[in-house]
Amino acid sequence: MKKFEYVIKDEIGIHARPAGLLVKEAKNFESKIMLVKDGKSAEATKLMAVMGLGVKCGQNVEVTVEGADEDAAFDAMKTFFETNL
Amino acid sequence: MGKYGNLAQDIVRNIGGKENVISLTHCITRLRFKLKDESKAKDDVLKNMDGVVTVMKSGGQYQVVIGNHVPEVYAEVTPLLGLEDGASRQEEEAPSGNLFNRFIDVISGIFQPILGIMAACGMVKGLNALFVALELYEETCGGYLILNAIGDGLFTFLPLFLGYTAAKKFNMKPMIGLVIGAIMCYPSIQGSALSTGGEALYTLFSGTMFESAVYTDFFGIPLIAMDYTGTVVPVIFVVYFASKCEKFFGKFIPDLVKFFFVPMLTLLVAVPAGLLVIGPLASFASTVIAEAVMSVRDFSPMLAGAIVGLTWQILVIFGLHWGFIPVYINNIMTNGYDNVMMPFFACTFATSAVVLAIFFKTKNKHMKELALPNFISGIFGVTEPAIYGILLPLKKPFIISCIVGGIGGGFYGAFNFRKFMMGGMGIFEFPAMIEPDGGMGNLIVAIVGVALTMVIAFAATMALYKEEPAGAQGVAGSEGAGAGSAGAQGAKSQGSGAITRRLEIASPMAGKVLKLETIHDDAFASGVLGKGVAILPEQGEVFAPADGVVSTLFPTLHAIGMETDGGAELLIHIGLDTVQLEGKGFEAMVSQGERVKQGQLLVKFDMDYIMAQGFCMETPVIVVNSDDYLEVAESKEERTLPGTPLLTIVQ
Repeated sequence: MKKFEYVIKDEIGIHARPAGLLVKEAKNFESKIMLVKDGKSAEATKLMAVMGLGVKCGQNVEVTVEGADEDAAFDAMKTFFETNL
Repeated sequence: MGKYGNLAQDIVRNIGGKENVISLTHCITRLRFKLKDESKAKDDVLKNMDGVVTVMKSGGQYQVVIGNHVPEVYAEVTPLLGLEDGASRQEEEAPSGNLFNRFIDVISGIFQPILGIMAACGMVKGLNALFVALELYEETCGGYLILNAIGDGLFTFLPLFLGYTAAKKFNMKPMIGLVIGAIMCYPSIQGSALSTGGEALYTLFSGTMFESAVYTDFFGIPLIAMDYTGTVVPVIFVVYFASKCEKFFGKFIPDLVKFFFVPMLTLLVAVPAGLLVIGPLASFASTVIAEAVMSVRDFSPMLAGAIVGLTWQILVIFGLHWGFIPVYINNIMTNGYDNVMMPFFACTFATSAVVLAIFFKTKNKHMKELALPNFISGIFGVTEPAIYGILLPLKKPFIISCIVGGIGGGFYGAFNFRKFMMGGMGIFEFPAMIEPDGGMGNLIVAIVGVALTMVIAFAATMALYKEEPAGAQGVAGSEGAGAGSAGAQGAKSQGSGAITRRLEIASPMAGKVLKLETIHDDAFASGVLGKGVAILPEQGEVFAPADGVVSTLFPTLHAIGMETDGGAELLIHIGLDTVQLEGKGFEAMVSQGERVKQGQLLVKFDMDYIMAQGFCMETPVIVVNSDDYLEVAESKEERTLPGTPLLTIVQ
């Protein structure tokens, strides 16, 4: 399992559009990708769950990646957060 | 190269060449590409191309909207892609599997739309026979006549209905299929009508077992007629051939006169070809089968009976059982009884018992609802609804019923089971089995055979038939069962592939219906979040659009996620960017995780307040898991009210 933490810089947080893109990206991988915020977690492939976390600007999210292609998924997630959020 | 050859080449070039295409499917109006890299596609060039309406990107698909003639364009595009088999396909492709499975899927798919009516008609026919047997009224009275017409109309003119649904299946204009069915049932071309019309013109193959009296010809080509009324397979073949003709003519005939010339040429080619080829083939095949059974009978009546019992239902499907009818009539006329065809009697009861077992075993509501009337009409001798509605689509029960029919048939063959009069169906045939001198031996054989067959068939089905977890495929989903939750049971199953399932999503609020693409939020408009519509609300209330669970109620109450019982994940996002209100102006009437019924009030919102804060009220209602479905179609209405249909999801 690999994980990283990220502080959201996008001013609307992980909402609609970024969440949609995130889910799309996460679906490309076999690995199970989870987002954790304040003890609540959500599977990154589930749009509703991701949006339900209600992650806002300035908040900290932990992203965990576990599975066959976790290295690639980890890199992709990291890049995704850095460029979009 | 056809008329869309250039268009096809231009499309392929501008989506980034064939190297960029992973797969291609098409629906009613769109070519749906999966591209390796969507950025390589030149959206603007494609959008402005003659013959392309627009381009849409959604759910990982790059969709080129063509219009109704998309199948022809698709046909031109696919060869240019050089994809492997399977990567390129129509969305309603024939299900994979061996020929037997595919054939059964086609047949049961074709019957699917008329299952309910067929069960109803079978019941009327059966009850009518029951009331006559109980001597409530006479077979000669007008009441019987009308009720019989109600019960028998569908079965007699089955080719019309099958022609229509088969045409849909083969992507032909359904009305042409209907017309083909009508032509095949046209009274004066039926074999029986032609043969009563007088002397045969001549006899073909005389002296052989294919000896056929020819009563008429088609401009010199001998027409070996048969009765197409009540048959299943002939019309399917003709419609299939006609669908090829239609496609062929569609390529060459200018658009201006297509409307008229394509159907005309299609009918002129397909119908005579069908009648000239199928008539003789079916007649010869049924003669061969009847002759074969007769000769087997000479050395083993039991084996002959078993063959009849085993194959009867299959013969009926192909219309080949007609070969036995002359044998049967001739036997009764000359010997005073028939024992060649009669082993088929077991099949009626094998079928009924299998359906009864399924009634007890199935957990699928829709299947249960069909099984009981099909069982009742089955024991009255009307087995078509059971065969086409339940046994064939489920396949295994059909095989069970055939094998048990064979066992019962063998029993009847071994005990020289006879019937002494014509007429009667199902259990009403029993009186015709009492020997003319009053002896009851034959009747006892009949009853023992029925009991034996039913017990074995029932037990075998209970033991061997296992319901697939997703519910009975094929039978479960139907347009009628689609309202919000009812079609839910099997909605996640892949089904037999032949049958699409529909889920209806009702409107959650009153307001103006907007196209998702037009709203003032790129995220929703682009479709990246899923397909759907938006509503510009007129009242500050959101109602549940279907039965299901509130999967997500956002802490800020501005959006609601629902998982419907049908498996659709819906997102209702009240207003745009309203996350920033942090819950002000919203009031939740339910909590996350709660089960709700369609029409239940979910959230109230203060429209005036929200608008005063400068937010746009456009409310997207989207299917988040659109990728799981073939199509999410929006309502055509401009205004919608809570509870009226808003989205139709096709799986």
